[in-house]
Amino acid sequence: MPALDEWPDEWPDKRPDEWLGARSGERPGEPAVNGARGWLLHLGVLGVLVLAWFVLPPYHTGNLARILVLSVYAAGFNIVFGYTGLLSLGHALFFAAGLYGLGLSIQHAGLGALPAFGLALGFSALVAAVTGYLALRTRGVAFMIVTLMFAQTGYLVVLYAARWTRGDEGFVIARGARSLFGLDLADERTRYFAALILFAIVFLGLAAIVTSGFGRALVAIRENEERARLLGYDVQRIKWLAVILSGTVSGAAGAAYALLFGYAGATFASVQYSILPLLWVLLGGAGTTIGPLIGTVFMFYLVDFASEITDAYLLLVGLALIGLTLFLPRGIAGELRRRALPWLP
Amino acid sequence: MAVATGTIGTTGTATEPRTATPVLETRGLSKSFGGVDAVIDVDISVPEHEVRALIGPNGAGKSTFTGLVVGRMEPTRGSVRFDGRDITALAAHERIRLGIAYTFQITSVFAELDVRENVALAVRRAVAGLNLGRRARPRQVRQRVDEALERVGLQARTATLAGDLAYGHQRLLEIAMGLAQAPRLFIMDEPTQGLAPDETERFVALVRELSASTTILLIEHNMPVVMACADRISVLEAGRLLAEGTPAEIRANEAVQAAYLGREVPVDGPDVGAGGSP
Amino acid sequence: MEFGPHLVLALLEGAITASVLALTAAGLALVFGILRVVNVAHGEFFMLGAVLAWFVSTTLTETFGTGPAIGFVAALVIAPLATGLVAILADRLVLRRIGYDPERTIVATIGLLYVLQQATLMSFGPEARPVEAPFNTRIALPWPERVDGEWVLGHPWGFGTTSYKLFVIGAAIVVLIGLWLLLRHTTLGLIMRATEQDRDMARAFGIPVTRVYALVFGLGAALAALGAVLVVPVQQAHYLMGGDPLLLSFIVVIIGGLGSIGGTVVAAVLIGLTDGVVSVFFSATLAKIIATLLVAMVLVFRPQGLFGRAGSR
Repeated sequence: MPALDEWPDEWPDKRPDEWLGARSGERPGEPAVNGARGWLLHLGVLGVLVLAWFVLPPYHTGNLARILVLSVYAAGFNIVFGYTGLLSLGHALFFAAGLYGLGLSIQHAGLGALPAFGLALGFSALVAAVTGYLALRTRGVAFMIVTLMFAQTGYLVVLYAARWTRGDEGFVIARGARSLFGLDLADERTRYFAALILFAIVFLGLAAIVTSGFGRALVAIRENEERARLLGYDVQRIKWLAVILSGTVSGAAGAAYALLFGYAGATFASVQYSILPLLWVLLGGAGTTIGPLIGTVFMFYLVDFASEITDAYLLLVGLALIGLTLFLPRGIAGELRRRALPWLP
Repeated sequence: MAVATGTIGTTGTATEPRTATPVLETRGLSKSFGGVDAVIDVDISVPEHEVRALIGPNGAGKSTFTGLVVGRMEPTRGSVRFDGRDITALAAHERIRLGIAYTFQITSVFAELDVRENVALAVRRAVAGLNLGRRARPRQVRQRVDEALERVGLQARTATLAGDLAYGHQRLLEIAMGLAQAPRLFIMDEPTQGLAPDETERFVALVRELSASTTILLIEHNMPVVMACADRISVLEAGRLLAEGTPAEIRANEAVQAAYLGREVPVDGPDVGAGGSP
Repeated sequence: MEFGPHLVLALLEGAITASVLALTAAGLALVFGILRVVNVAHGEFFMLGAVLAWFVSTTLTETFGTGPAIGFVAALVIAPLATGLVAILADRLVLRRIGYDPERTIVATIGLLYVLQQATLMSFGPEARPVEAPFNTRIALPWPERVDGEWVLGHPWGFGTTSYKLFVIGAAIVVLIGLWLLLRHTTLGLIMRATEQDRDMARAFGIPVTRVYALVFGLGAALAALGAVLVVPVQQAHYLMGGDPLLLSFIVVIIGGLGSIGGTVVAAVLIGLTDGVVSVFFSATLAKIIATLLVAMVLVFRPQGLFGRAGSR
């Protein structure tokens, strides 16, 4: 009997992207962070960010601090969208939960920065757990709409509770209240490195998670949910855990934003802030660890550039979304992974 | 057909081991969709190490039945027992974890992931028990992946994307994923569909090999395959269990022929699937 | 004014909301039923209708000195048509290229939303601009009052409506009946329903599915624009006015059962009237909170809505 590898439809055993015209898709490949290349890349990125403080002018480091916090938000969204394959249109709910969780407890309950941050995290996790449990009873388009509706409810509640939240106008958190371990978080350098530390924790933590069994399970669910289920994976529970993780990370970003930049307003709970992380992740590369950072940096500067020309800079956001869906569905890092770096986590 | 010791005979009378609990047992298993009765009161008992084939004309309810067994849908009535334990209330993933492997009628693998990762996902789940966070030791995973792939002959293709494999190889990959779980019960839904004749031959040999270490439930349309692999055959028609017996008994059974072929055709009729040598 | 008349007024306002909402939501339901995609930019088509109506009627009135009636009638014809064309363009350039994939369509239509909205901001500007109604006579409504111990039909101060508002309700009813006739009793409607039932079968019968899709998408947009033209003399045209209609249409279509036009109309009446009443007596924000949560809960616990078929996406 012929051996299997002598069969007539035998293909040479090469890597798919070495063949002309062969289809190749997403390849998590070997667990990369366990491998040297993955670690080097992640540490390298962090190294560059540390260096940036000393090299770049203050305008850009100020931007970068903001970008780092927002890319933590994008990274949170990426867990659910990029790795698990769930399109949530309501992540602003989690960002706002963190933002107001911290903001309100400092402003009205007089909490210190650290306990307020902890409270904000817990609150975001709770919101994620409850809304996630309900939303995950639906799938596909219904899921998108349910998440959108939950986020809209959050936004409307923020408006309705204007007595405390000051609605659209928002409120400023006094500089004096924003200090951690005796350090003034409004100081440019402290703020930058605080943002960087948060980013580093999330960046490395998520890299470890997505290469673990849990992370692999998320990818399996994204790729073929029924097959994963019939391999014994508790798909509902895993998705729910992913939503909670995602919501907590997004909440951390919201809380950090309020703490570092001293302002909380209803815009951050609006639909726009649910769409933005989608845009950043799509652009940077969904389902990659560096994608969120790339996308946020890119879009931030694109909008920055556009706002100088016109008030209608959101037009660029719209065009970018359409262009991405049409021509670059995998995003920058996604295309990179496909064409050159299959080991990218 | 050579079979490991302590199992039922092949041709002639079937002797079931009376003392051992059957690996799979269904009692009065039924499923109705609105007005349609897809499965009606099916009682089946599959002892350990048996290769049981489930056959029947199109629409007989075979896929629905296996769907009920594996937990893809809830029964309207009846129960399913696995190693003596009632699993009727358990969800599909819980049943799989108890030791059941399942391959789909239309091959379902992770097309965008490579062959190694496909099998690794099966291994990790089987090894990790209840805690997915606990990392299954990479070496252990690798070992089991390699073993499973070797048994089906795909060891040379670990880096290939599953979706880039030829269809026959994809089916083998799915079987490897099942093997990697080291299941007590291996359910395969039309596994030879779409395979070339030589691939089918290899499949039959594989099933014979496997029955020594597991129990197999096979839905099949390919009669030569059924006659060659099966220890016993259960025949479904219009949702009910029509007949059960050894391959020889079933081949001679007139009711079965009527169900498949219409009453006019003689016992050893022209090959419309029945008879013919493997 | 007492409670009774107040309630009736609220219901009237609600009826107008319901009428416009029924048209807008019907457009969304049509697109979802036949194309099976969610168009997040639907509210912007509504807004476009209003803005184009302002543009047409203002140009006619100022350039040609015609009266508001002619301007309005022209707007009624031109605005929906133009909006429909914009939609068809979007369909050809974008939607068709991504194969009407549900997830990608949502992302693409979000992009479209921003493009339309911001392009309008750039050309139309950030202010709200009024459009004059073609006719607007006040109609005092009767109400039973007790005068000298006897029941008499009086006309409480402030209890009245305008002829135009009544016209809006009537026009919406006419258009919806026309839509129903189109779907049920014409060949075109038959083609649309066939495509909705089974896309592949329809193709096998020689129906040009991509053209039907383009047409339906355009029709959906035109319906929203028509609703906007009807309502713009009552409200005003503003580049951000698409948000509320989008949300409300979503609510209506989901509660009415995605893909079911009849259910959509009933739901529109329910939601419109409720919204009108609650907004008058309570806070508008609270009304929206309740409505939004209601939609989410319906989807979670009864995904087929109130009228849709179970298992429809």
